[in-house]
Amino acid sequence: MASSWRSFLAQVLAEDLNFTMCRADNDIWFKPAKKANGTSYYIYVLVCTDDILCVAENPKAILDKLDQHFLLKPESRGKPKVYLGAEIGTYVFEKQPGKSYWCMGSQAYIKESVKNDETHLQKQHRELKSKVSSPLPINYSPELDATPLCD
Amino acid sequence: MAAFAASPRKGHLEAVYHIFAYLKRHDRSRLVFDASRPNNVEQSLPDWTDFYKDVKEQIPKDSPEPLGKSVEMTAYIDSNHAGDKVTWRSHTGVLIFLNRSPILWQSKKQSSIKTSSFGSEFSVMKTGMELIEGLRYKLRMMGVPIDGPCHVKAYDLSVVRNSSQPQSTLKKKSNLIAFHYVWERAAAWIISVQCEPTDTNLADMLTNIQLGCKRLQLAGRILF
Repeated sequence: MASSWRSFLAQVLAEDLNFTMCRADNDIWFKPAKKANGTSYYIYVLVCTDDILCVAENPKAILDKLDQHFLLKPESRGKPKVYLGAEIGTYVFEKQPGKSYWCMGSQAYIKESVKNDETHLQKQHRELKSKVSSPLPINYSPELDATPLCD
Repeated sequence: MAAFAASPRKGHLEAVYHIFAYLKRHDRSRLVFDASRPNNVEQSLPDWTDFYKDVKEQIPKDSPEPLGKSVEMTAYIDSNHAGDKVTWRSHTGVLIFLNRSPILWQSKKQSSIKTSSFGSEFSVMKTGMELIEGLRYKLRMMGVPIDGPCHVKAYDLSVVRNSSQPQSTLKKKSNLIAFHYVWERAAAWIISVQCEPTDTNLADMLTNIQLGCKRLQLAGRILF
């Protein structure tokens, strides 16, 4: 199944949309195009099985064509919000107002895993420490830890 | 911590809770893809024609014509010599930027024991070099134009200083090979090595546990 989906997608991208597969990474597809201001550039389509990200000046045109072959969820055909589980958004630096950059984070995943950990600790009537400023305690060497083994 | 997953100790479990406590306080961090140019100081190509002849970077023949805006590569590398107090292995830290966006990073224990910090630093250089060349190849195959060499920022001065003397003597074969592997690439203008003080070397985060304030200062440059 997986390989037939892959080859079907490859066929659509290569034959109907004229994309070339990147030889260094087979999940990257590109084709040369011209921007409205006349400069040449590449349009990219990034594929991770059924998660598709299109990088272009007018990504809607590409997505419309893909929609003729695959049923895309209407709500997923806009600006990317989530890709491969990471939230995608825009960020504006204080020093450069008016210019926004793409940013990526995994807030939802982290929130969920912290919540799981807290429920686990609650069963032992414990809670997470507050005011922790580094991932591991300063000067902690896990390899020197001689505490008893976990059950 | 995953290294201790086979026979974890109670202290390791506490350390994992510590990580979650850290994440709870820092759960909004994001990576920003800043496309603006870094302020890398332009350096001149070292003249090593006596030593490495006219070695040049190999551009893949079947790569597409580069189009669009070009990117500048910057890599921060750091090693923590004999960081592991049981096996005395060193730790490797590499962080690669395209323009001002963090793209690729690695934080890993080295697979062999190095007797000198010079050796561990060269081991990192070699690892970094492989990542850099891999990324350069991938970008070229994607048709992304790359501007100039990759600016490599290392802390260990002895490594940086050696860049001016390709004939410097090395006694260990493994170090010697890593040395020439790295400096042949410097001669081919794939990399340009500079010194970065440990206070601002971002790869320090990948090899050491830092005090909160220093961590905040370094992490503040890549997480928003």
